[in-house]
Amino acid sequence: MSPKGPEIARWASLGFLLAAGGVLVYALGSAFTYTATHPGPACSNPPALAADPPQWIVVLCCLAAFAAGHLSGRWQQVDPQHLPAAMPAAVTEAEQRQRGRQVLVIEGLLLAFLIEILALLVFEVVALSSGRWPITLYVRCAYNAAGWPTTLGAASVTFLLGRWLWLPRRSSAETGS
Amino acid sequence: MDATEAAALQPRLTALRRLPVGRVGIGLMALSILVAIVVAKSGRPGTEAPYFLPAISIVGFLALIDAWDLAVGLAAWLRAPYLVLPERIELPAWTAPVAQWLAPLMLLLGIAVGHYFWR
Repeated sequence: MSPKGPEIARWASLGFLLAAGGVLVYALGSAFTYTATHPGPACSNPPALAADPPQWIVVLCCLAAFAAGHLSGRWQQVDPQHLPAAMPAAVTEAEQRQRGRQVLVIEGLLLAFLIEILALLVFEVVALSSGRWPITLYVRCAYNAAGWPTTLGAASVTFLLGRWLWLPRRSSAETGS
Repeated sequence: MDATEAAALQPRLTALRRLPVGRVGIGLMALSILVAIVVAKSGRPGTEAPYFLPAISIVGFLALIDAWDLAVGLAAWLRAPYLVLPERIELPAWTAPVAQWLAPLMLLLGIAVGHYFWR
């Protein structure tokens, strides 16, 4: 790879991330706009299973986006001082406090994410038990009413999941082992 | 400062950080899956709902672990900043490929299970 290669890869990685964020904002904005301007539902009740594009294309798009997220996750810039092999022991109390604060912020964000997922799961169970629309039917309705924007939104979510959860294999130099 | 020094200086905080909660989580997952299958097979209305019990259990348990770690971390941040920093957990070598491929395998499994609920 030429010297410019890593730089281009980093910008491409950032571009993919911005594109995924842009698609999600567009999909959410479209859904809110439609809901605010149309009194009736966007689909039949219950929503039809088939729509354009076909389901297998949606699944393929999501799988491809998941793999793309995994691959582009390798391209992002990692500050060498954050790699375990290079991370020195914090020697002063001020450094320990600063690093400790960073750990606590990450734990706080993780807790907020887990509580959000928990709330969605509880909503799904309550809806299924009481005969109301579960989240599944809202997603199916969006797919039925606007197939391609919904597919792009789903692909953006799986892109982010692939980027954040399917971790790249670290070299021994990075892991310090 | 190594782990021995930290334990000598802050024995209570060190002990709180080292509670073996992972085993409780594994037991909870197995139990919740068993309960979900039994309840779903009982034929009550809303048979899909019990299948969400394992997911709720494990996510709720992870949230509790994180909240606990956050609370202990905040206490340590005020009294012993070195205890806030995460310790490196050395896992056996055979877990590396499992950790590497767990996310895509779970995605495929999730799509297959989600397909059942979609219908």
